[in-house]
Amino acid sequence: MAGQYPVADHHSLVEPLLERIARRPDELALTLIEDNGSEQKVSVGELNARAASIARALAGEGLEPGDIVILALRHSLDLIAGLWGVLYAGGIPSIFPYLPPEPNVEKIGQQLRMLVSGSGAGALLTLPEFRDSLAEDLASLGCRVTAPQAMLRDSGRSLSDIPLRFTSGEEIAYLQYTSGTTGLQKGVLLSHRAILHCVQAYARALDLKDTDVVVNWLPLYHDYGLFAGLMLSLLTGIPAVLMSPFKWVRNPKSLLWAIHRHRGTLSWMPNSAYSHAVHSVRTEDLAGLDLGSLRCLGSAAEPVMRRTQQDFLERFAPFGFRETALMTGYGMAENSMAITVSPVGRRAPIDWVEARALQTERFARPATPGDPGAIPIVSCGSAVEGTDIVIADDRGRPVPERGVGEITIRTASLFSGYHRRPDLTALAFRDGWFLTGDLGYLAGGQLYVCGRKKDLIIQAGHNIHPEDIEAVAASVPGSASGQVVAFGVPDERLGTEKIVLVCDLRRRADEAEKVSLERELRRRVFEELGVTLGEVYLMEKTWIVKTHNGKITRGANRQKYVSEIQKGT
Amino acid sequence: MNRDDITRKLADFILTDILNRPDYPLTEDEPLITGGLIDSHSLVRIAVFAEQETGVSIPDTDLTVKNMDTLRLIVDRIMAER
Repeated sequence: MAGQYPVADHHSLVEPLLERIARRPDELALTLIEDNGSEQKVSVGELNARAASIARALAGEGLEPGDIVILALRHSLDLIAGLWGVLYAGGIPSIFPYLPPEPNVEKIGQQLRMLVSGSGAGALLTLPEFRDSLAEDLASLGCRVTAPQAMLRDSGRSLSDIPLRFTSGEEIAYLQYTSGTTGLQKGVLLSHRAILHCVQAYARALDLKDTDVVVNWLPLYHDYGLFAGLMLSLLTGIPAVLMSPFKWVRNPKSLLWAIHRHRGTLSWMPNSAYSHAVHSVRTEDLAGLDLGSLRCLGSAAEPVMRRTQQDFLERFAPFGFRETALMTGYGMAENSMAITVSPVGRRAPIDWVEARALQTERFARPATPGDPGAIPIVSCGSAVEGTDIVIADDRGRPVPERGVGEITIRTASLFSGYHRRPDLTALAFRDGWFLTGDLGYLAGGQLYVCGRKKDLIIQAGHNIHPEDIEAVAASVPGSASGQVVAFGVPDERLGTEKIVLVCDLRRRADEAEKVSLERELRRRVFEELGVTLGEVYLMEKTWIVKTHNGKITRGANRQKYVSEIQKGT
Repeated sequence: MNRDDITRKLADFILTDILNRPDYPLTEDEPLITGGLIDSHSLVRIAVFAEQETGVSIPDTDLTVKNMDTLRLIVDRIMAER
């Protein structure tokens, strides 16, 4: 049984895969859906052969165990073989966001240069066009740049030639970068033990079976994409069907048809993606579709909205989608991935509470569904095995059942620290408990996430730091440098947070000037950060709220927006 | 539907359904994605709407920023397929 597979008894991520290779080398490991729709089937043995050549080439180029290797590639077998090749060679892989179909080579080159210099990476595996422009520059930082294609020449040799190195389990297996510009990015160091435990706990929570089939579009640089979408299947022996996130965005029906064709049982996506599927698929394109095989469609990477889940259910139930497949969960990169999962085989519970009491008393008082002032909060499920959750008040004391406080965790899947940032690591823990920065409450053994202590914006599964947006906005001429504030507001229409930017001009400005300034702000924020602003407000009189010592608090401004601007629309 | 009709319909869809701002002075050559006005998910919604209205289907591999960044480019693409 896949669910009982003793993944966590191993010391290294490499071991379970090697056991599979020894047992059944011809077993199907992966099906890769290309952007043109064609499919490439990859056996365990073939993946291994490619990974082994990459490992040999890396070792031949002088890669030392523990060296960081950045993989800046696209959805491809090269990426997955590269990931395992680095692990075989004892290196620490780190997957960079996928190179887009129309890359800005210069800008991405700059980001890679900063990442290599900040992380101390020993090697970069990338596409030939990036290798050629970066090799010389990165050599001065002690980083070799290679294209995986160039490393596959000697794939005929046997497994015994691989410079395999088994670890103690506590050694670092993966470096997961969180989003943000260089100053705000954090490198989460995950040990082999933490990841193995995470995969096993998750497999048990899902009651994983031999008959399960993963169909995944979440990118492998994201924790759910990597550990649920890929590692879960490779380590436990169930097949995975993978497609590119770019393909998914442009053609969401292709995921639904992939689930149909492969009889997919498990898939994950952020709340906004459910919404995208509802709005961006034509009914004419769904004739004959059967989603009945899907037993878990996990909501991951951003807050779950009841309305989005309901819309998805209504749209796709006629195509066999089961209500019980609406799975939720809560996780984060610092815990490898999942902290909680909703019970399999039934829809995640919904808790109706008094909105006012939640805000002012920090207490989730039960309310009658649909009553004025009552809001629905979707459960994120209960803790996966080896995970303790305590809801803590500002002084770190546990709060009673239904009390709202910071979600703090102690688990076997926690990270080993932030790469080269012991200061941030120290701040993230209190007496051995990791402080998630999220607000929530526990009721009946279920975790309900209902806010954020930190100012982070989460849009379509991407974490965005408002500081980054404010810095770009403040640099736009005419925006009254310094008098800007950015925050996220949940938008049920989009199924995610929309980003609101407010600038205090503190002077008269006519409509034409405002439109041109708004365009410039939007353009620059997109150019610098790849982020699309939802709403931009240019205020002639002072609007932004500050504390008595002149500090702009985003929470207070967000509140003011909700009560003064949003209410009126 | 002629070119002007299609342009008007798409502009109306973008302003009301995507931006939720009927008064925004959208121009035909304004960059939609690189201008930070709409995101790539919304571009797909526009393509689905355009297909419904005009019968012209744009393959997903062509839904790129380069091909679809302005209202004029989108309408050009639709007219070329008709």
